[in-house]
Amino acid sequence: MKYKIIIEGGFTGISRKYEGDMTVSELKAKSLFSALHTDDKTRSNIADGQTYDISLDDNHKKYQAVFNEKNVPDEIRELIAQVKQ
Amino acid sequence: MCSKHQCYIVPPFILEELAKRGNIACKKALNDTQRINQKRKTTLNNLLQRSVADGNGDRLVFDSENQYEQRQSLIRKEGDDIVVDTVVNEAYDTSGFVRKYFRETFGLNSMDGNGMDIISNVHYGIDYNNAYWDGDEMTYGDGDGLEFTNFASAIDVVAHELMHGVTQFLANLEYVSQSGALNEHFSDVFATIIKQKYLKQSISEADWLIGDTVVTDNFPGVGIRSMMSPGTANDFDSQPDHMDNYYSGSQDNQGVHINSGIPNKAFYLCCLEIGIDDCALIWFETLSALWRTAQFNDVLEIMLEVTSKLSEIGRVSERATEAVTKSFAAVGLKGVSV
Repeated sequence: MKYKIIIEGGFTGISRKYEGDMTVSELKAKSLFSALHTDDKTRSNIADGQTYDISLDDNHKKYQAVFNEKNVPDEIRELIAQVKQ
Repeated sequence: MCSKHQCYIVPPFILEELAKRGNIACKKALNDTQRINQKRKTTLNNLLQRSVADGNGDRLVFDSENQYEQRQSLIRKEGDDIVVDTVVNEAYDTSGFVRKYFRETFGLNSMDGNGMDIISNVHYGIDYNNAYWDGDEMTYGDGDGLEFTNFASAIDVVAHELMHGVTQFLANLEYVSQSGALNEHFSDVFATIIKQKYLKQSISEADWLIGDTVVTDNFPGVGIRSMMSPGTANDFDSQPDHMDNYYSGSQDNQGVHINSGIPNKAFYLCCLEIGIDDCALIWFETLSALWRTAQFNDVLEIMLEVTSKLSEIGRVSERATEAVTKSFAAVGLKGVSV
Protein backbone atom coordinates (compact mmCIF):
# COMPACT_ATOMS: atom_id res chain seq x y z
CA MET A 1 0.00 0.00 0.00
CA LYS A 2 1.31 3.44 -0.93
CA TYR A 3 1.10 6.14 1.68
CA LYS A 4 1.71 9.87 1.84
CA ILE A 5 1.53 11.63 5.18
CA ILE A 6 2.01 15.38 5.57
CA ILE A 7 2.15 16.80 9.08
CA GLU A 8 1.93 20.59 9.19
CA GLY A 9 1.78 23.35 11.74
CA GLY A 10 2.38 22.82 15.43
CA PHE A 11 4.52 24.90 17.77
CA THR A 12 7.59 24.22 15.65
CA GLY A 13 5.85 25.13 12.39
CA ILE A 14 8.05 22.55 10.66
CA SER A 15 6.29 20.44 8.03
CA ARG A 16 7.08 16.74 7.78
CA LYS A 17 6.32 14.55 4.78
CA TYR A 18 6.48 10.75 4.80
CA GLU A 19 5.93 8.94 1.52
CA GLY A 20 6.48 5.32 0.54
CA ASP A 21 5.19 1.79 0.15
CA MET A 22 4.40 -0.68 2.91
CA THR A 23 3.06 -4.20 3.09
CA VAL A 24 -0.08 -4.55 5.15
CA SER A 25 -2.58 -7.36 5.61
CA GLU A 26 -6.00 -7.10 4.02
CA LEU A 27 -7.51 -6.71 7.47
CA LYS A 28 -5.11 -3.90 8.37
CA ALA A 29 -5.79 -2.10 5.08
CA LYS A 30 -9.51 -2.33 5.70
CA SER A 31 -9.06 -0.89 9.17
CA LEU A 32 -6.97 2.02 7.84
CA PHE A 33 -9.40 2.86 5.06
CA SER A 34 -12.22 2.71 7.54
CA ALA A 35 -10.34 5.12 9.81
CA LEU A 36 -10.00 7.60 6.94
CA HIS A 37 -13.77 7.65 6.61
CA THR A 38 -13.95 9.39 9.97
CA ASP A 39 -12.47 12.53 8.40
CA ASP A 40 -13.83 15.56 10.23
CA LYS A 41 -13.90 18.60 7.97
CA THR A 42 -14.39 21.14 10.75
CA ARG A 43 -11.44 23.49 10.93
CA SER A 44 -9.60 23.32 14.17
CA ASN A 45 -8.99 26.45 16.22
CA ILE A 46 -6.35 24.73 18.30
CA ALA A 47 -3.39 27.06 18.68
CA ASP A 48 -0.21 25.22 17.67
CA GLY A 49 -2.19 22.10 16.78
CA GLN A 50 -0.81 20.02 13.93
CA THR A 51 -2.81 18.96 10.87
CA TYR A 52 -2.43 15.46 9.47
CA ASP A 53 -3.01 15.01 5.74
CA ILE A 54 -3.18 11.28 5.01
CA SER A 55 -3.35 9.62 1.57
CA LEU A 56 -3.50 5.84 1.12
CA ASP A 57 -3.56 3.88 -2.13
CA ASP A 58 -3.63 0.07 -2.40
CA ASN A 59 -4.16 -0.01 -6.18
CA HIS A 60 -7.86 -0.72 -5.71
CA LYS A 61 -8.82 2.14 -3.45
CA LYS A 62 -7.51 5.64 -2.96
CA TYR A 63 -8.45 7.61 0.12
CA GLN A 64 -7.37 10.93 1.49
CA ALA A 65 -8.36 12.67 4.71
CA VAL A 66 -7.21 15.55 6.88
CA PHE A 67 -7.28 15.40 10.66
CA ASN A 68 -6.45 17.77 13.49
CA GLU A 69 -5.00 17.06 16.93
CA LYS A 70 -8.37 16.20 18.39
CA ASN A 71 -9.69 13.76 15.82
CA VAL A 72 -6.79 11.62 14.61
CA PRO A 73 -7.99 7.98 14.80
CA ASP A 74 -5.81 5.53 16.74
CA GLU A 75 -5.14 3.52 13.57
CA ILE A 76 -3.68 6.62 11.91
CA ARG A 77 -1.58 7.45 14.99
CA GLU A 78 -0.15 3.93 14.79
CA LEU A 79 0.50 4.29 11.06
CA ILE A 80 2.35 7.57 11.62
CA ALA A 81 4.47 6.00 14.37
CA GLN A 82 5.28 3.09 12.07
CA VAL A 83 6.38 5.16 9.08
CA LYS A 84 8.42 7.51 11.25
CA GLN A 85 10.64 4.62 12.41
CA MET B 1 -29.39 37.43 10.09
CA CYS B 2 -28.79 33.70 10.34
CA SER B 3 -26.09 31.36 9.13
CA LYS B 4 -26.13 27.69 10.05
CA HIS B 5 -26.88 27.41 13.79
CA GLN B 6 -25.92 31.04 14.36
CA CYS B 7 -28.18 34.07 14.49
CA TYR B 8 -27.18 37.65 14.97
CA ILE B 9 -29.18 40.83 15.55
CA VAL B 10 -26.23 42.87 14.34
CA PRO B 11 -24.27 41.12 11.56
CA PRO B 12 -20.63 40.36 12.48
CA PHE B 13 -19.20 42.50 9.68
CA ILE B 14 -20.91 45.56 11.15
CA LEU B 15 -19.64 44.72 14.62
CA GLU B 16 -16.14 44.33 13.18
CA GLU B 17 -16.27 47.67 11.43
CA LEU B 18 -17.50 49.40 14.59
CA ALA B 19 -14.84 47.61 16.65
CA LYS B 20 -12.20 48.89 14.26
CA ARG B 21 -13.51 52.39 14.89
CA GLY B 22 -12.91 51.98 18.60
CA ASN B 23 -16.30 50.78 19.84
CA ILE B 24 -15.31 48.66 22.85
CA ALA B 25 -18.83 47.25 23.34
CA CYS B 26 -18.88 45.96 19.75
CA LYS B 27 -15.43 44.45 20.15
CA LYS B 28 -16.58 42.67 23.29
CA ALA B 29 -19.77 41.45 21.63
CA LEU B 30 -17.81 40.14 18.67
CA ASN B 31 -15.25 38.36 20.80
CA ASP B 32 -17.86 36.94 23.17
CA THR B 33 -20.04 35.68 20.32
CA GLN B 34 -17.15 33.91 18.66
CA ARG B 35 -15.99 32.45 21.95
CA ILE B 36 -19.46 31.16 22.75
CA ASN B 37 -19.70 29.59 19.30
CA GLN B 38 -16.38 27.85 19.82
CA LYS B 39 -17.45 26.62 23.23
CA ARG B 40 -20.62 25.16 21.82
CA LYS B 41 -18.69 23.17 19.26
CA THR B 42 -17.47 20.50 21.63
CA THR B 43 -19.34 18.49 24.17
CA LEU B 44 -16.27 18.48 26.36
CA ASN B 45 -16.31 22.23 26.62
CA ASN B 46 -19.95 22.15 27.59
CA LEU B 47 -19.16 19.68 30.32
CA LEU B 48 -16.38 21.88 31.56
CA GLN B 49 -18.44 25.05 31.91
CA ARG B 50 -17.07 26.81 34.91
CA SER B 51 -19.04 28.63 37.53
CA VAL B 52 -19.23 32.41 37.50
CA ALA B 53 -17.20 32.73 40.68
CA ASP B 54 -13.58 33.80 40.23
CA GLY B 55 -10.87 31.25 40.77
CA ASN B 56 -7.24 31.60 41.80
CA GLY B 57 -5.56 30.36 38.65
CA ASP B 58 -4.80 27.03 40.33
CA ARG B 59 -2.33 24.79 38.54
CA LEU B 60 -3.18 21.20 37.74
CA VAL B 61 -0.67 18.96 36.01
CA PHE B 62 -1.89 15.73 34.41
CA ASP B 63 0.18 12.86 33.03
CA SER B 64 -1.07 11.64 29.64
CA GLU B 65 0.94 8.46 30.24
CA ASN B 66 2.18 8.51 26.63
CA GLN B 67 -1.32 8.18 25.28
CA TYR B 68 -3.02 10.70 23.00
CA GLU B 69 -5.43 11.64 25.75
CA GLN B 70 -5.69 14.61 28.07
CA ARG B 71 -6.40 14.48 31.81
CA GLN B 72 -5.39 10.89 32.24
CA SER B 73 -3.92 11.09 35.74
CA LEU B 74 -3.74 14.14 37.97
CA ILE B 75 -0.22 14.12 39.37
CA ARG B 76 0.18 17.50 41.02
CA LYS B 77 -2.28 20.25 41.88
CA GLU B 78 -1.91 23.71 43.40
CA GLY B 79 -0.14 23.58 46.75
CA ASP B 80 0.98 19.96 46.47
CA ASP B 81 4.56 19.02 47.32
CA ILE B 82 6.97 18.19 44.54
CA VAL B 83 6.53 14.77 42.98
CA VAL B 84 8.93 12.19 41.57
CA ASP B 85 8.32 13.14 37.94
CA THR B 86 10.58 16.12 37.18
CA VAL B 87 8.64 17.01 34.01
CA VAL B 88 5.50 17.43 36.10
CA ASN B 89 7.38 19.65 38.55
CA GLU B 90 8.86 21.74 35.75
CA ALA B 91 5.46 22.25 34.09
CA TYR B 92 4.09 23.24 37.50
CA ASP B 93 6.92 25.69 38.20
CA THR B 94 7.10 27.30 34.77
CA SER B 95 3.34 27.81 34.52
CA GLY B 96 3.51 29.35 38.01
CA PHE B 97 6.20 31.77 36.86
CA VAL B 98 4.10 32.81 33.86
CA ARG B 99 1.01 33.23 36.05
CA LYS B 100 3.01 35.40 38.47
CA TYR B 101 4.34 37.58 35.64
CA PHE B 102 0.89 38.40 34.31
CA ARG B 103 -0.56 38.92 37.78
CA GLU B 104 2.22 41.22 39.00
CA THR B 105 2.79 43.08 35.74
CA PHE B 106 -0.73 43.59 34.43
CA GLY B 107 -2.95 42.56 37.35
CA LEU B 108 -4.28 39.71 35.20
CA ASN B 109 -5.74 36.87 37.27
CA SER B 110 -4.82 33.80 35.20
CA MET B 111 -5.49 33.69 31.46
CA ASP B 112 -9.08 34.86 31.49
CA GLY B 113 -8.72 37.49 34.20
CA ASN B 114 -11.14 35.47 36.33
CA GLY B 115 -8.67 32.99 37.75
CA MET B 116 -9.39 30.03 35.51
CA ASP B 117 -7.45 26.89 36.35
CA ILE B 118 -4.16 26.47 34.55
CA ILE B 119 -4.20 22.90 33.30
CA SER B 120 -1.16 21.21 31.82
CA ASN B 121 -0.92 17.75 30.28
CA VAL B 122 2.58 16.29 30.04
CA HIS B 123 3.97 13.09 28.43
CA TYR B 124 1.35 13.37 25.68
CA GLY B 125 1.58 10.67 23.01
CA ILE B 126 4.65 8.80 21.88
CA ASP B 127 7.69 10.78 20.70
CA TYR B 128 5.31 13.68 20.21
CA ASN B 129 7.16 16.75 18.89
CA ASN B 130 4.70 19.43 19.81
CA ALA B 131 2.91 21.55 22.40
CA TYR B 132 -0.49 23.16 21.94
CA TRP B 133 -3.29 25.17 23.51
CA ASP B 134 -6.76 23.80 22.74
CA GLY B 135 -8.92 26.57 24.14
CA ASP B 136 -9.04 25.14 27.67
CA GLU B 137 -5.67 23.66 28.53
CA MET B 138 -2.08 23.05 27.49
CA THR B 139 -0.63 19.83 26.20
CA TYR B 140 3.05 18.92 25.87
CA GLY B 141 4.91 16.09 24.21
CA ASP B 142 8.20 14.58 25.37
CA GLY B 143 9.81 15.01 21.95
CA ASP B 144 11.34 12.15 20.00
CA GLY B 145 14.72 12.47 21.71
CA LEU B 146 16.36 12.65 18.28
CA GLU B 147 15.68 16.24 17.27
CA PHE B 148 13.37 17.43 20.01
CA THR B 149 13.21 17.00 23.73
CA ASN B 150 10.61 17.62 26.42
CA PHE B 151 8.46 20.67 25.64
CA ALA B 152 6.92 21.13 29.10
CA SER B 153 10.16 22.16 30.79
CA ALA B 154 10.94 25.07 28.51
CA ILE B 155 9.86 28.40 30.00
CA ASP B 156 9.37 30.00 26.58
CA VAL B 157 7.24 27.12 25.29
CA VAL B 158 5.04 27.20 28.40
CA ALA B 159 4.73 31.00 28.23
CA HIS B 160 3.94 30.80 24.50
CA GLU B 161 1.13 28.28 25.03
CA LEU B 162 -0.28 30.03 28.08
CA MET B 163 -0.24 33.30 26.12
CA HIS B 164 -2.52 31.71 23.53
CA GLY B 165 -4.98 31.45 26.41
CA VAL B 166 -4.54 35.12 27.30
CA THR B 167 -5.00 36.12 23.66
CA GLN B 168 -8.14 34.01 23.43
CA PHE B 169 -9.74 35.98 26.23
CA LEU B 170 -8.40 39.43 25.34
CA ALA B 171 -8.84 39.57 21.56
CA ASN B 172 -9.67 36.05 20.39
CA LEU B 173 -7.56 36.53 17.26
CA GLU B 174 -8.77 34.11 14.60
CA TYR B 175 -6.18 31.39 14.03
CA VAL B 176 -5.69 31.83 10.31
CA SER B 177 -3.77 34.13 7.96
CA GLN B 178 -2.75 37.56 9.35
CA SER B 179 -4.89 37.45 12.49
CA GLY B 180 -3.43 33.98 13.13
CA ALA B 181 0.10 35.27 12.57
CA LEU B 182 -0.68 37.99 15.12
CA ASN B 183 -1.94 35.34 17.54
CA GLU B 184 1.41 33.57 17.13
CA HIS B 185 3.28 36.88 17.36
CA PHE B 186 1.78 37.81 20.73
CA SER B 187 2.65 34.34 22.03
CA ASP B 188 6.25 34.69 20.86
CA VAL B 189 6.50 38.23 22.26
CA PHE B 190 5.45 37.23 25.78
CA ALA B 191 7.42 33.98 25.56
CA THR B 192 10.52 36.08 24.91
CA ILE B 193 9.76 38.62 27.62
CA ILE B 194 9.04 35.97 30.23
CA LYS B 195 12.07 33.91 29.24
CA GLN B 196 14.30 36.95 29.78
CA LYS B 197 12.68 37.61 33.17
CA TYR B 198 13.04 33.95 34.13
CA LEU B 199 16.70 33.89 33.17
CA LYS B 200 17.28 37.39 34.65
CA GLN B 201 18.78 38.55 31.36
CA SER B 202 19.05 42.00 29.89
CA ILE B 203 18.06 42.49 26.26
CA SER B 204 21.72 42.54 25.27
CA GLU B 205 22.41 39.27 27.08
CA ALA B 206 19.35 37.48 25.68
CA ASP B 207 19.52 35.20 22.62
CA TRP B 208 16.00 36.19 21.44
CA LEU B 209 15.38 32.59 20.43
CA ILE B 210 12.15 30.68 20.89
CA GLY B 211 12.44 26.98 21.63
CA ASP B 212 16.23 26.80 21.94
CA THR B 213 15.99 24.32 24.82
CA VAL B 214 13.59 21.90 23.09
CA VAL B 215 15.97 21.08 20.24
CA THR B 216 18.77 18.53 20.55
CA ASP B 217 22.32 18.72 19.22
CA ASN B 218 21.17 16.69 16.20
CA PHE B 219 18.61 19.31 15.22
CA PRO B 220 19.78 21.44 12.28
CA GLY B 221 19.49 24.75 14.05
CA VAL B 222 19.73 26.61 17.33
CA GLY B 223 16.01 26.92 18.07
CA ILE B 224 12.56 27.11 16.52
CA ARG B 225 12.33 30.84 15.81
CA SER B 226 14.47 33.95 16.21
CA MET B 227 12.92 37.27 17.18
CA MET B 228 16.16 39.05 16.34
CA SER B 229 16.69 37.42 12.94
CA PRO B 230 13.53 35.70 11.71
CA GLY B 231 14.31 32.96 9.19
CA THR B 232 17.67 32.01 10.67
CA ALA B 233 16.85 29.76 13.65
CA ASN B 234 17.11 26.49 11.73
CA ASP B 235 17.34 24.97 8.24
CA PHE B 236 13.53 24.87 7.95
CA ASP B 237 12.93 28.39 9.23
CA SER B 238 11.19 30.34 6.46
CA GLN B 239 10.02 33.30 8.53
CA PRO B 240 10.22 36.63 6.68
CA ASP B 241 11.41 39.73 8.49
CA HIS B 242 9.79 42.19 6.06
CA MET B 243 6.46 42.58 4.27
CA ASP B 244 8.31 42.27 0.96
CA ASN B 245 8.70 38.56 1.70
CA TYR B 246 5.20 37.98 3.10
CA TYR B 247 4.08 34.34 2.69
CA SER B 248 0.74 34.08 0.91
CA GLY B 249 0.46 30.30 0.57
CA SER B 250 -1.98 27.95 2.26
CA GLN B 251 0.37 25.97 4.48
CA ASP B 252 0.32 26.34 8.24
CA ASN B 253 -3.17 27.90 8.38
CA GLN B 254 -1.97 30.41 5.79
CA GLY B 255 1.35 31.02 7.43
CA VAL B 256 0.53 31.68 11.07
CA HIS B 257 3.99 30.53 12.22
CA ILE B 258 5.64 32.03 9.15
CA ASN B 259 4.42 35.61 8.84
CA SER B 260 4.65 36.16 12.59
CA GLY B 261 8.32 36.80 11.85
CA ILE B 262 7.42 40.25 10.50
CA PRO B 263 5.88 41.74 13.68
CA ASN B 264 8.36 39.69 15.76
CA LYS B 265 11.21 41.60 14.18
CA ALA B 266 9.42 44.90 14.78
CA PHE B 267 9.06 43.99 18.46
CA TYR B 268 12.76 43.21 18.75
CA LEU B 269 13.71 46.52 17.12
CA CYS B 270 11.34 48.42 19.39
CA CYS B 271 12.85 46.78 22.49
CA LEU B 272 16.26 48.06 21.41
CA GLU B 273 14.83 51.57 21.29
CA ILE B 274 12.79 51.82 24.50
CA GLY B 275 13.44 48.63 26.47
CA ILE B 276 11.49 45.45 26.96
CA ASP B 277 9.26 46.59 29.86
CA ASP B 278 7.81 49.55 27.97
CA CYS B 279 7.27 47.27 24.99
CA ALA B 280 5.56 44.66 27.18
CA LEU B 281 3.04 47.23 28.38
CA ILE B 282 2.45 48.63 24.89
CA TRP B 283 1.97 45.18 23.37
CA PHE B 284 -0.32 44.01 26.19
CA GLU B 285 -2.53 47.11 26.00
CA THR B 286 -2.62 46.84 22.22
CA LEU B 287 -3.74 43.22 22.39
CA SER B 288 -6.48 44.23 24.82
CA ALA B 289 -7.84 46.65 22.21
CA LEU B 290 -7.74 44.26 19.25
CA TRP B 291 -10.53 42.17 17.74
CA ARG B 292 -10.88 38.73 16.18
CA THR B 293 -10.01 39.57 12.57
CA ALA B 294 -7.37 42.26 13.17
CA GLN B 295 -4.66 42.54 10.51
CA PHE B 296 -1.05 43.79 10.68
CA ASN B 297 -2.04 47.36 9.74
CA ASP B 298 -4.78 47.36 12.39
CA VAL B 299 -2.23 46.40 15.04
CA LEU B 300 0.05 49.24 14.08
CA GLU B 301 -2.84 51.72 14.08
CA ILE B 302 -4.07 50.60 17.51
CA MET B 303 -0.53 50.38 18.86
CA LEU B 304 0.20 53.98 17.90
CA GLU B 305 -2.98 55.12 19.65
CA VAL B 306 -2.19 53.05 22.75
CA THR B 307 1.43 54.20 22.83
CA SER B 308 0.48 57.84 22.50
CA LYS B 309 -1.90 57.56 25.46
CA LEU B 310 0.60 55.63 27.61
CA SER B 311 3.30 58.13 26.76
CA GLU B 312 1.09 61.09 27.66
CA ILE B 313 0.51 59.74 31.16
CA GLY B 314 4.15 58.82 31.61
CA ARG B 315 3.71 55.06 31.67
CA VAL B 316 6.18 54.57 28.80
CA SER B 317 9.04 56.54 27.32
CA GLU B 318 8.20 59.78 25.54
CA ARG B 319 10.13 58.36 22.60
CA ALA B 320 7.82 55.33 22.42
CA THR B 321 5.57 56.50 19.57
CA GLU B 322 8.56 57.29 17.43
CA ALA B 323 10.14 53.94 18.33
CA VAL B 324 7.01 51.98 17.38
CA THR B 325 6.69 53.88 14.11
CA LYS B 326 10.34 53.33 13.25
CA SER B 327 10.34 49.64 14.18
CA PHE B 328 7.29 48.80 12.10
CA ALA B 329 8.53 50.91 9.18
CA ALA B 330 11.70 48.80 9.21
CA VAL B 331 9.62 45.69 8.45
CA GLY B 332 7.54 47.41 5.78
CA LEU B 333 4.53 48.49 7.84
CA LYS B 334 3.78 52.18 7.89
CA GLY B 335 1.15 53.79 10.06
CA VAL B 336 -0.11 57.31 10.49
CA SER B 337 1.18 58.79 13.73
CA VAL B 338 -1.49 60.10 16.07
